[in-house]
Amino acid sequence: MKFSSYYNNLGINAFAISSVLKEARFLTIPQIALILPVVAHRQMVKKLADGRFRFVSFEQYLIDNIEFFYNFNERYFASLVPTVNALQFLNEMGVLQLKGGGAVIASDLPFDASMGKRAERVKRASPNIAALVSGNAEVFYLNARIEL
Amino acid sequence: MKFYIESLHLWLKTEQRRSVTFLPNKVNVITGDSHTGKTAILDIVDYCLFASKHRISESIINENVAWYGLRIHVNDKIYTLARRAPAGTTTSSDYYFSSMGEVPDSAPILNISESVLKKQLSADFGIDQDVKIPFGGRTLQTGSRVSLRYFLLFNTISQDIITHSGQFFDKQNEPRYQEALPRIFDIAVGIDTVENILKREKRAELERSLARLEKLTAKTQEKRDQFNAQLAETVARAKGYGLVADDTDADASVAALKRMVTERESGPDLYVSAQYEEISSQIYRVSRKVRGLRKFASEYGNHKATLKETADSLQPVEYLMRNYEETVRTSVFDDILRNLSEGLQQIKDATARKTPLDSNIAEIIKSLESQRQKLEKDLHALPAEMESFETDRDKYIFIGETKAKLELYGDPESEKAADNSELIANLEAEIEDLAVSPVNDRQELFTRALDEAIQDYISLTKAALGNYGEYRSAFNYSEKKLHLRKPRTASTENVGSSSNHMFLHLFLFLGLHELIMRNDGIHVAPFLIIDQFSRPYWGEDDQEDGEGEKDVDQSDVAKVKLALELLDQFITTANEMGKEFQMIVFEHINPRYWDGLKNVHLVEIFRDGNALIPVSRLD
Repeated sequence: MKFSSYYNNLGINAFAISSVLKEARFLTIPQIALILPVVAHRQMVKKLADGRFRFVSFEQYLIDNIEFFYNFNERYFASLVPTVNALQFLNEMGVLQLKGGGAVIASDLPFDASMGKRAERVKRASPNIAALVSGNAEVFYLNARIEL
Repeated sequence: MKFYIESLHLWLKTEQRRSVTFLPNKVNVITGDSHTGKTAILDIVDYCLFASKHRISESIINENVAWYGLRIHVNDKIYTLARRAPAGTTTSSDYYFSSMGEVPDSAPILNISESVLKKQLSADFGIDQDVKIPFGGRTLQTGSRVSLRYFLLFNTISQDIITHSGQFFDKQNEPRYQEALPRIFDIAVGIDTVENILKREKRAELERSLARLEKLTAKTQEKRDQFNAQLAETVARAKGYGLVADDTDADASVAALKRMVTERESGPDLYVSAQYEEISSQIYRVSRKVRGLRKFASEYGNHKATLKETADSLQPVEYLMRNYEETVRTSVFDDILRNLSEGLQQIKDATARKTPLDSNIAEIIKSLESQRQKLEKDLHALPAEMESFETDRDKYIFIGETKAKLELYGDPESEKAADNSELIANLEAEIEDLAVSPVNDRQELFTRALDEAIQDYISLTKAALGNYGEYRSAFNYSEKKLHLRKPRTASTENVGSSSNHMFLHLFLFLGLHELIMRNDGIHVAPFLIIDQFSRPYWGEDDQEDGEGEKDVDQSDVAKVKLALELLDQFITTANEMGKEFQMIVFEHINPRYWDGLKNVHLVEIFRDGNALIPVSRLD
């Protein structure tokens, strides 16, 4: 299934991954693969970008917002190719470095207003997205029912 | 429902962890001296499950503990939940939760709020917005949500209550729980199901609207007859114009006139059809969400089943391989893929046998479905297409006249009630479909079944009941108390001796749980914590073991043995039904009392320095 309606493109994908990774410092590849399915969900991003949102734990977030996860598996598979492509793009650009089963930021990809409103919202949400995906990946994969 | 406590954990302030492990489907016995913390275990379980007041003793226990926790198995899921120790009498609102049952080595960290954790556990106890207080009281309001704590009333027999002559349930000195018991009892034990309650409510509501409609119809019929008479001439003219068919009767003709006039006035087609499409697409969106959520909640089981076949492969990696042509391949492509598959394989191995949380999905689905029903109703009221008029001068003049007349003679009430007959027929059909057996019948049947179950326990422990051995079980439904009745008499007797009261408590709780299991109850967890049922024979457990027993009558020893046999037999009975049941019993008797009982498991002996908080662990 293609999520063309999510108006994703390499630019926004790469930007989303880099800005979340910058907040998280280090993420494993399976954790990075969770970023775009989150970014693809408009309501999730909106809520995570809200200044009043306080992240407590993945479990707290899941139980409170379980309706955001019902098609997470579909979003996950639809995001796999874009994630792999964006990672390579960021690597070629020298923004990110692969290391120890995951990736770290090598040089910053700064936000610019010309990237648009959506990128700005992703930017604001990225500390919370980082918190959401950087916990125990087993708990996330199990509860989001990602079929391995 | 399925439920058992696997272990209890205390994170001490000295950074050490003290754990006590229990077995499922067993009578778990903790025995030992007094003041070793046996009773505290009951209080800790209560505290971890959201108690708003606590009874954990401060000295030795609370003063040395930073966090209390439980690892529990609930409907195939494993949770660890922990709560920060209370400061004095003030309970804490800091909770730790792990949906995979992880027990941290050092003190847990706050990672969830009480309300969210309660939401999750309530869902596991089958509580959603339909499980509500059926009738109000001083503190509980009609229609307010049932707390899962009310269902926990069925899971403990504390030392305060076990020899009480008139009280069977814990916490009955607190008004909230006192009111809760009669209000949740029917749902808890399966006399009534939420479905039936809803059906009955719906039926009452339908009957009310039916009565209202019938009254209205009678009144408006009279008015309509007058109205039709006044419009007789206009109807005749309309027929002449061919606007109303010749063979229509008075009522239908007037209705046709009204339609003609109002349709002329209704908004442009465009507006209606835009709204029609908007609602249709909303219905589609809601339906899609409901389908997705259903799948989300149910299909994990199938996924688990196919996991075995795909044990060596990883679906995400295969997906990437299948969509090979869409990927870019730079020098690091292989690195990324290898890292991804290694990481995912680890996750797969770790989660293969675990069950995800489903929380309040059922509740979300219910609210979406009611939203959909409302939308469908709205859609129904909208015409899909509009008819259009042809222009004709005479006709317009006539319509104008008719409109004026209708307004002149018109009666808003009779207009609203225009097609009541159809509504009434629908209501009658709906009421007929909602057949629910009256709750009184079911209560009576339940009481009879409970008495039968308890009668079996009485015959098993006959020797311990003295002259009551041949008596009959007589459960008093309205008081929720168990009495004994002399055979072939109608009156119940006041039973003497605390030994008998203790047995009555065991009988009632075991009987209730047996029926709950037979009814496949989803609200009451299948476990029971019993604090010192041998109290009637040894009093407080402050005598040294052995010494106290010397003064004890041999018949009392036999009674304790019989009580244990009763508990042991109950586990066997549960297993015969294909269910599991867990008991946790605090005692100070010796293991020889349960020689030969296959379902009894000795957890620990709190004696010679061993205690809930062993002397050696204290700084």
